[in-house]
Amino acid sequence: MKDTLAILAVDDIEINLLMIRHMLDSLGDVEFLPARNGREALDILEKRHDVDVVLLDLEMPVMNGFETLERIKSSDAFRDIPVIVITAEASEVTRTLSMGANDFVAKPYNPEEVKMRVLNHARVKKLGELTRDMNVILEAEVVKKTAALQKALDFSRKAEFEISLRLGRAAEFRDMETGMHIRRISELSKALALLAGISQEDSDILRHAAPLHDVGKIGIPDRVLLKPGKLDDPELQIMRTHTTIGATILSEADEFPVITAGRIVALQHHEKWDGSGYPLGLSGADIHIFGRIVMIADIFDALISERPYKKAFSLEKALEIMKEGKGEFFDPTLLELFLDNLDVFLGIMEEFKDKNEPADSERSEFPAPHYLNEFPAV
Amino acid sequence: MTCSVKNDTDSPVKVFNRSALLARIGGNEEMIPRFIDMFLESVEDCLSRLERAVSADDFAVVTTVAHTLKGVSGNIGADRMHGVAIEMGKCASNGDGKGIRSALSELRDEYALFKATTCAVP
Repeated sequence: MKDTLAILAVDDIEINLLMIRHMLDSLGDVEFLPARNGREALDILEKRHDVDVVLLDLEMPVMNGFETLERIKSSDAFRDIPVIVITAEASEVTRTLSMGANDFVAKPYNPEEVKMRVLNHARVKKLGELTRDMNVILEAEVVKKTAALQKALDFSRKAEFEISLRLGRAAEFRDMETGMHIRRISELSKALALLAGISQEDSDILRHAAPLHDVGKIGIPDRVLLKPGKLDDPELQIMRTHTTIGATILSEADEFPVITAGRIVALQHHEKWDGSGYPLGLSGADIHIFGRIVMIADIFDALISERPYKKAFSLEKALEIMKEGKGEFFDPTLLELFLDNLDVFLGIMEEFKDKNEPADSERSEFPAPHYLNEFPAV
Repeated sequence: MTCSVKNDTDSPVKVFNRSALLARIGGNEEMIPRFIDMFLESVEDCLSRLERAVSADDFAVVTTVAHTLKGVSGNIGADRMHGVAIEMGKCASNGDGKGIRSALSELRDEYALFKATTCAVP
């Protein structure tokens, strides 16, 4: 903020300009800019962006004071520069004030008054500039703080996802040892959701919710969950309740979209397109698309992955099995999307593949997932 | 040195209010001669324009020039001239042809008085 006051004085009479120059001299650090008429005044304003006060005479040829005042006060660049009009006529005072003049002084000049008014208005203008400068500084601060906040928010979301993954792993811990399975289901589901035209936001919600699909297994007793052989009918019934148990665990969380989505996925990821699924036997599009998507991801992962109870199927075999389930198990449209974009899904399988292979001796201890029993070819 | 001439009212209106002028030019004594010269030039110009305007009864121009004269005479401290200029302005806005002629005559007299007063000033 400069200390010199730049004062523009506009008067067609040279002696008046000279007088004002000398009058203002005693203010100290003043730069005096004279103009003989409105045209000259505007030229000076254009060149100099730092004029602090304008002293404006009204009676002038070549653009008189009124027009000059009008030009100054209607310009975005000059509007905030205080204009002190030199007049003594009452009518001129009200007229110029209504046009935006900031103040007026009479002729003959009262030197003390002129100086005081000039200083007052210069001070107000400087304060205005300070405010604008402050605003610029504050805006920069807001941008910085917002960025920091966004970073914290992003981290929060990442933490949420991580918790979801861990919860999913916890649920499956007893009957499945590969943590990457949960991660793969999550990423496969998101990819398929995007391909199905689901919004970025909702696909992300599904990505966060998919790990929770088997959380209900927490409620399944060991004798069923860990039984090595095939399950008989009552045991199968118990097993199937992991869907409703999961839904109960994730219920009444309307304000949390991820948990609400998790509830849907937990409940419906075993519903089949032809209505022969469980727990509700929903069919077709009655099954929430989240459920239909996770089912495809879950089964594909199971077929193609190395497991303790089975070797991995070859890709061709896995795809053959899945095609057989089209329209029966799987939403035909979703399956087509899946098959047409296989490279995406294979990429995910590769990126998130299991790191540790279980030792051969441990293989037989883990039971086969019950739903694979339902595939004739397995 | 000022020359005080009493007018009709009790308070003397000065021919030349030197101290007021000095205050208006930030106390710069040495600038006074220059200011007076510029003022005299200004008045010459105004007077010649007034001669033409008054004889043509051009009240608009008379108003404008009287206004200018009012300004410069007020600022220089030629208070008596200042008063006459105001009078002239009033007459012109009233369309008073006789009044503006009379005012012009007075103006010339006051001008002469002012010159005499200030010529004596160093």
